[in-house]
Amino acid sequence: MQRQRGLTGLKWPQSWLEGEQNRLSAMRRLFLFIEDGLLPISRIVSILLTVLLLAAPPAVAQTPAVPATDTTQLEQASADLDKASAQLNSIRERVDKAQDDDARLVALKVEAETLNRAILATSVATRPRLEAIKARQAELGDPPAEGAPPEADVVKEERKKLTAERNEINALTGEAENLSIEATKLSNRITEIRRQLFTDAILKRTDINTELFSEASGAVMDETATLGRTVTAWLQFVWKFKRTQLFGAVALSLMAALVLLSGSYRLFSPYITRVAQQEKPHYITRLSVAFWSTILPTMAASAFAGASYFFLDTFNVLRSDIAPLVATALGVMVAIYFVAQLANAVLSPADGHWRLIRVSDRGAQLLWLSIFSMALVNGADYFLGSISEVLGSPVVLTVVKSFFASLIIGVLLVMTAFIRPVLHQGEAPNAPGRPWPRSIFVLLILTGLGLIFSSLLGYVGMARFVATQIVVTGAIVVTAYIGFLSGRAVSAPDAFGATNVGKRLEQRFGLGPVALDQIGLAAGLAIYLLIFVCFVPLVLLQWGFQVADIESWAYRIFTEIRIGSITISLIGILAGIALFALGFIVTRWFQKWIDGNVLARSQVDAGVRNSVRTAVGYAGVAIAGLVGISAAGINLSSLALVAGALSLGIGFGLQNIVSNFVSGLILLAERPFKVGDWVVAGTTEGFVRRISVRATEIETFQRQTVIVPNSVLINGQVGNWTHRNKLGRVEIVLSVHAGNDPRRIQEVLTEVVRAQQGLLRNPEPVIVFQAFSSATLDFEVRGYLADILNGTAVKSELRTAILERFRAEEIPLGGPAAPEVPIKISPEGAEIITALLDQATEKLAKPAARMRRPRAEEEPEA
Amino acid sequence: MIMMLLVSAAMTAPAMAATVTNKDADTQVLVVVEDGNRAEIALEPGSTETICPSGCFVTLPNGDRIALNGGEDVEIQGGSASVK
Repeated sequence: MQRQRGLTGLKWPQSWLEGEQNRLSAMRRLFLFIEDGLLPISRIVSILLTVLLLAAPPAVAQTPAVPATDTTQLEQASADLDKASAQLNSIRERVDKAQDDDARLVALKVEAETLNRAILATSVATRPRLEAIKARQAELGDPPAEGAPPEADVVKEERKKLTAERNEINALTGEAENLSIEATKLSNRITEIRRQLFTDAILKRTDINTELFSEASGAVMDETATLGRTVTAWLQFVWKFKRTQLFGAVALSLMAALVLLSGSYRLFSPYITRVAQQEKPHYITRLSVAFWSTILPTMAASAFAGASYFFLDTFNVLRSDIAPLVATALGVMVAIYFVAQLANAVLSPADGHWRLIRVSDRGAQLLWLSIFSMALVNGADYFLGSISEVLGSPVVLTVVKSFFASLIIGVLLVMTAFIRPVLHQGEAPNAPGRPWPRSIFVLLILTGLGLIFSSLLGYVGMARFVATQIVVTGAIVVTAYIGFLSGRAVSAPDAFGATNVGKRLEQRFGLGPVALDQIGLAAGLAIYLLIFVCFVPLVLLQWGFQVADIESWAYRIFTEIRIGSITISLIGILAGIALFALGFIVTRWFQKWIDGNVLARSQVDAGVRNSVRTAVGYAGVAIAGLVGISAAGINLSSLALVAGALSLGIGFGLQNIVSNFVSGLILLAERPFKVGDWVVAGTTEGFVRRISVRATEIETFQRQTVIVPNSVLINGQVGNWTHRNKLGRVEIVLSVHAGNDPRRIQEVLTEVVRAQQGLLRNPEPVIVFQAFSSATLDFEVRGYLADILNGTAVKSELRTAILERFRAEEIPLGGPAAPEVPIKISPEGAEIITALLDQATEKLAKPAARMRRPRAEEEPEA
Repeated sequence: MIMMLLVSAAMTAPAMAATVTNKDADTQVLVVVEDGNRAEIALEPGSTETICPSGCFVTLPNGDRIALNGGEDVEIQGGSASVK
């Protein structure tokens, strides 16, 4: 094959070389002529023309295929249909030949379906021409009625031509229609054949009798002899001539497997090694270890097997009869290794603490043995089967081998039913086990007996199928389930941060716990996806589906899921989402660019900048949304319909929102305030923090954020302290004692205010004498500030300065202390009062002296 | 907005199948070949039918045969079809 391909590959360059040589010789001739210097112009021109023609052979070749007329389009369609018809016949022939080759049939079915689509496309392509003919015929109108003057010959001619062409197109479409029906029928027939094939393979019955066995034993002798001869011959040949290649292939594939294995160990080491010091590992740890220690070594083993086969094949070590044997042997070994590894991971016969299910030590060992033996028997059955197939041994032999294999597996199942592995909650792993629960016991016994009896009755195909399913599908499903559980464990809250990978990420990139948790969730989802993508096809393959089947399903799932008359395309929806995300990112980038590079340099007002940025953002998101929607396959024209239907709803329910939305647009365009302005809207006063399309955020001085709907800001009155500039006036009211001189006070105040930092000189500060009363004189100081936002600080400082000055100048703020009140009294009255007072003093003094006397000795007079 | 998108998605998706509308005053009969089956479809005046979600061949009342990919809107007028 390869040699042939190489020859045809060489042909083209040779012809090309010839052309090149012609061209060169022509050129040489041309130069010679010119050197002679004797050429008339006409000859030069003709030579040039020849050179040009030689230099451009493709152009010459293309000339006949100039403008494709409509007739040739029809001819093309007709040729296509002929080709399709031939192809259909060839497919039909191949189907007849491959009646019992399932994989081939699947490929043929796919081919037939493709052909059907091609036929449809061919006919659809003729539709525009039919429309054009119809339009022209309508232009020409009906042919003249009898008795009417006949029309011109040209018209008659054209009419005839058009009718002929229309008929031709109709005939072609009819032909396509028939072909399409045939193609569909063929495709349905293939499905029918495949179903029949499967049923036959499963339900085929062979009589089990002594004759069968004697025939088989004869065949076994023959086969063993042939196999020995073949393998010995091959081995001798390889050893003599292909030794280097053999070792090279094995070394290369070992290397591939080792790289994979060591890489995965490095990445997942906490997941796949059972750490000895961990006495009682947590369930999650056990799960992860079980899953990864099954998957990774199996993957390495598959890589080794695949690479070995590939390299042996590439180095031509394999012979056509040995190749399938090696392939099956490698495949069977990988399968057995997988089952053994899985059983090891789940049952952990050596170490009770790592066991995933609660079974006794002895039970785990027996179960492991039973599962491993079943896998071994099944694998051996397959390997021997492929030997018989390769050596062309009689079918009897395969039947007998499968018969024994099924029988053994059935017996093993029955034996498994009598193992007593079950432990109760809290029992130590080395405790004696109890029998299976009744349901599992019955299931095992029934399956085992079913296998034995169906083999004995002659339904060997079915028994073999069921036995394989029990071993391989069971293993795959168990792995998938463990993987699913470990995915759930990884994505559990805060579980990922505790793993080694999480810790390393934390050190390397300084990720926070939230980011790690999110990564854990993503990792969990990725594990789910991996399980789905890997194991579902594996199980399907086990059940007799072919790769092409699965491919076409996957294709259909992604391109069109049909529910009734609604078609959903996952690819379209994903593309829409991706385009929207892309548009969104581009918009954000453009927004940043225009804000930072263009607007910042053009010295525009901050409000304009904000408005432009916001408007660009909304426009970009809207465009991205529209692009995404149309990429998702949703027709935009129907949006208009929806908008019409919703307008009634907008009229009633969404009125407020729409009004706010429009108000937001007006705010952006008119800019009554910008971000950072000090505004007063109704009872809300504060700084504008954000203007969005529905509402505006105002932060009050108490740091409370008030969200004011835009319509309120548009319809109501809004005061803005910092609209055009930040200039503002502050007032300070003060009162002094009425006894002061108002002019002096004014002078003092003027001096203080002039000296105050922050107040503007123009407009000048003003001192207003506002009122006076018997008690106070009231003044107001009015000054202008460049930045009203500093108002409070300036006011406070100004008050301090005024008070200090008043104290320095001894200007009283309040009235003086209350004066003494004189009392008039007559001299007699004064005497009487004096006497009374003396009397009272004496009376008070006497008891005091009496009380003091007894204590006199102890306490000396103070 | 989300509601709007959902509704429009639901409304546009059926556009994948072809629709045939009879604009004539009489009932028209179409022969539709789809999935290997030949079926006759009678269209009442003014009525609309949804046919062939995945491509089909249609024989029109005037004898013309057309192929449809699915997704077209076909109007029948005077026994002849115009495809949009």
